[in-house]
Amino acid sequence: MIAQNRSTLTALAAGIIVLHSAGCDRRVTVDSAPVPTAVAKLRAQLEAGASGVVDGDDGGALVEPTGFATLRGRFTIQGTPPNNPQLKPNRDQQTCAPGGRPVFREELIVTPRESGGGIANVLLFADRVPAEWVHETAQPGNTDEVIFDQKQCIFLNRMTAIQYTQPLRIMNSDPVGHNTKVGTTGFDQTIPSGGSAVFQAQGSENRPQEVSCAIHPWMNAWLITRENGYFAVSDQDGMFEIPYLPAGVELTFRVWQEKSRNVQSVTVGGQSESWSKGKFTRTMVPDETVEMDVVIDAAIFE
Amino acid sequence: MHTPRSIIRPLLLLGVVALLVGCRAEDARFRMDMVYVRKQENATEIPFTRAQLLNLSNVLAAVFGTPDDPDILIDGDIGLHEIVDLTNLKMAAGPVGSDEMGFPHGLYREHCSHCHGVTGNGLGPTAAFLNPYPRDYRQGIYKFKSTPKGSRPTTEDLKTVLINGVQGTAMPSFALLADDEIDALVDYVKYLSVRGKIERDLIFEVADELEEKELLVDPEEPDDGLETVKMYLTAEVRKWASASNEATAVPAPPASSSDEDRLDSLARGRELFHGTLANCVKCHGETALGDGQTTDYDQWTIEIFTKEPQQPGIGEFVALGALKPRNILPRNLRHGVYRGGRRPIDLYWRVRNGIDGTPMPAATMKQPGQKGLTEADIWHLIDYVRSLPYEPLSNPHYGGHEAVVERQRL
Amino acid sequence: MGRFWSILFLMVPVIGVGLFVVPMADMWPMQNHWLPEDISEHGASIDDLYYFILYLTGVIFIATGLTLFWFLWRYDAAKNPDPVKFAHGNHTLEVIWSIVPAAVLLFIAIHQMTAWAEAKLRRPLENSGPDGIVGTADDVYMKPLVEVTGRQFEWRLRYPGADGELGTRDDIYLVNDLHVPVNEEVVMTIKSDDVLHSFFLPNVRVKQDVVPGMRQYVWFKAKKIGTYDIVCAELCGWGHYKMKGRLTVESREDFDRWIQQKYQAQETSQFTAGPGD
Repeated sequence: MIAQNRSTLTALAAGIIVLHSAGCDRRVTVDSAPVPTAVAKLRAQLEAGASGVVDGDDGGALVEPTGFATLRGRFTIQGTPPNNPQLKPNRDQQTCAPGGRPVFREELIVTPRESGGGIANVLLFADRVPAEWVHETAQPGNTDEVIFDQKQCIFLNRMTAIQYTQPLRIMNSDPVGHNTKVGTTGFDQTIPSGGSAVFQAQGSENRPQEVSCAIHPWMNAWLITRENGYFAVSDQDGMFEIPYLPAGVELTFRVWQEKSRNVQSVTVGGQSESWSKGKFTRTMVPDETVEMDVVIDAAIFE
Repeated sequence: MHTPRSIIRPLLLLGVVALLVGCRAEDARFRMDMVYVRKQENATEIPFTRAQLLNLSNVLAAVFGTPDDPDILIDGDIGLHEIVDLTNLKMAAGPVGSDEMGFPHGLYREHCSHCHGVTGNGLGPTAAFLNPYPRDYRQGIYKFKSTPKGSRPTTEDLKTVLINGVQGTAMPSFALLADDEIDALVDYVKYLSVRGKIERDLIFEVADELEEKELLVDPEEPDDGLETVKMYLTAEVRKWASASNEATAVPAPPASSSDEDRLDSLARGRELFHGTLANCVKCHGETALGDGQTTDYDQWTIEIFTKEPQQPGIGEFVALGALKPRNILPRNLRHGVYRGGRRPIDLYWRVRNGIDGTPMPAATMKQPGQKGLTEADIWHLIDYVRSLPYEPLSNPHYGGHEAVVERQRL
Repeated sequence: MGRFWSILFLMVPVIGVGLFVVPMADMWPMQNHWLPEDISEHGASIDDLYYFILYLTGVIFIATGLTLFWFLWRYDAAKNPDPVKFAHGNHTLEVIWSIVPAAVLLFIAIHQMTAWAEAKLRRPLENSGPDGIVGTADDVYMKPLVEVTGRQFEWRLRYPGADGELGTRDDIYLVNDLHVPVNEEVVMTIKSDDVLHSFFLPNVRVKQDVVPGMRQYVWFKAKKIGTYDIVCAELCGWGHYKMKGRLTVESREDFDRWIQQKYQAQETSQFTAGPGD
């Protein structure tokens, strides 16, 4: 009888141990120690220095664009969009929630189904376009000032895209002060009531930075800075257009929306496509206008 | 005849022996930022493979070495050897002890790693018991420095923190260490900071730019990957190298020779404190007790913990080693405890540049035709802030006595 | 077998004495294990008491140890086959060895009162007040040179600054780096920020627990210039072992110069960026 109890207990203990170490999560949660032989090899390669080709695409024959084309289209939603979360202003309620009106984070703005269900504030930009391919209208070095305002404790532009050389004048049209911080750029300043401050970005980013306020932490908006003019933010109806893109070469585009972040599974012209990390590629014909009607299922915004 | 008792004694003996023998202490090694990895995995919905992580580990070890054997790439284009000295690194790294000549090594492990972690990630064994948490060097963000937000601290800034400690926190003063030991520790902190930032950049690169399962540095075709590594390394080293040029100059305060001048300054400071130019009371509170805005988070916490009401996913980050998020509270200015230093220039830097990594913003300086603070304004503010701990409101007396029992004789 | 055990018991007084003689003579392997150097004025009275009790108890310790050994050796069961004789006790002996130690203890208790009073009760006076009589209510105590606050895991110091008053705007704040002038009576006020610590200056024979919520005073007069330790002597947490500070005893001029320099550094209000690190 003791023998039976013992073997049952052992089996139970072994089972628990095995289950515990196997776990349920497939993702790698433990990092591995470096392997000395591989490290030594990499070290030798590093010290030998780079052998020429820098950030090449595929090597081999260099392709050149043969003209310019336009990409335009519309982002629409299929299905019922989820409600935007309600925020709780805990300061300056007279300015930020006058009359006790509710404040929402407008992370998904869509027009009603009758008007087409267009999604606003979707960011689309061309990734890694070599400088020599860029058309003169989209050349880097644009220094036109862009206005970015906040009123009633709401940033008036939810998604802003500029060239990093453009100064962004952050204004404050409220009777109370704001502290505007732009992501991890290091810009974080008090903006006096009725005053403004200029943010000058340092470089191009691949993802938007979050703009926030320390005094009113529920406020937010997004800003991306790029090195050329190949970007667009969809308007109220979900429409976007980027003209003068290099044609005849494969271009990579990225699509980003505030709630879903990378836009990854879409339907374009009836075909469902999977955009890993929000990226898709297109090669356009010169003088062509590519129409892209991108339908995004409401489920990815959950 | 077997009775149950005869099994228990040998089992007990076995248990005692097992406990005495114990487990072998793990060798110190750098830990990858699995919290950041998980964050990227959530953003792209593509998990990292074990091979990718091992590849990253190998690349970082090739560039930076190990905790016992640090290394820096001597490359004129990158310039890492110009901001840290390898002899200093060797003095700070490794196990605690000293060599035959009596030169110490293992300084970092002796003095720093139990809070800041062997990797410089602020996750040492004692970190969870501290409030505030120890600094995580890996984002390259430091609170108390002479340079503006977004810049790295100067060597002098790091030395000042080591020598003075951070008053009001668990960071002690290392003033009693020899000068060369302090220099060694400063260099090692810079080294860990550069390493941590590169690790983050490379993790981001793998997540954002590479194909699924693609290795950062392919052993067969290493050139592209190595170029990327060097690019990030150069950018980060440049930031550290330019820090001393970016230190904010502090002008002399306006002359206040008479008591009247001083009172004017205090009045102006008080006006600014409560006004809409500087917006101090919005966070520090009408009474300067730091109760104005207590729901915000610092940069290190925000990264894993959004301000969403539902607060999704914090559990998985804590399981990966992140510390439980805490709100960051604005300073109670009536205590007279100034974490970044109590000299007037320290306070000037805090107001002028803000505090990097926290919601304390930089001041908007006056431009022609625009609203803003002048340098004299900032000095008036500082005069006012420095006077706060001496106001009657800041020194409550109970029944006319100081809030301690005074023991005259034993 | 029995005599072997009595040899073992002989080892007790032998090793016990050795453990004191070896460090006192600074012999290997216990160099630097004896009392720290005493540089204070009244430290001698404490050390004298210590030695007196040490020698007194030492003599008794050796005597009893040897006596025990003698009896174990002489009356070992293997060597004494005769039956046991039972002694009914000796009343005189018992009276003697109760009264004599009691008298000795009483002597020690009275003898040490001065040392205790000097160290803990007689806080130094600035002057004896208008009536000129020491010990009355109008006595003016000497102002403390510095306020020491024990905190996990450091010693925070606050010097009163030029106005001589603690708690004013010109106070000088430092950490772990305590300076005092030599050959002057120094009073310090000590307190704790969080938990129990103990402010221990080994070389001036000062040790006092700092209790949260309580302000206390310690005083000493250092007679030799040099650097010495400040140590925490009450377990206060995981960092107790490294709660070390440095006491620097220096001449009055050096001390004044040092404190002035610290004040200037604390009031630095101008900074120009240098060319490089």
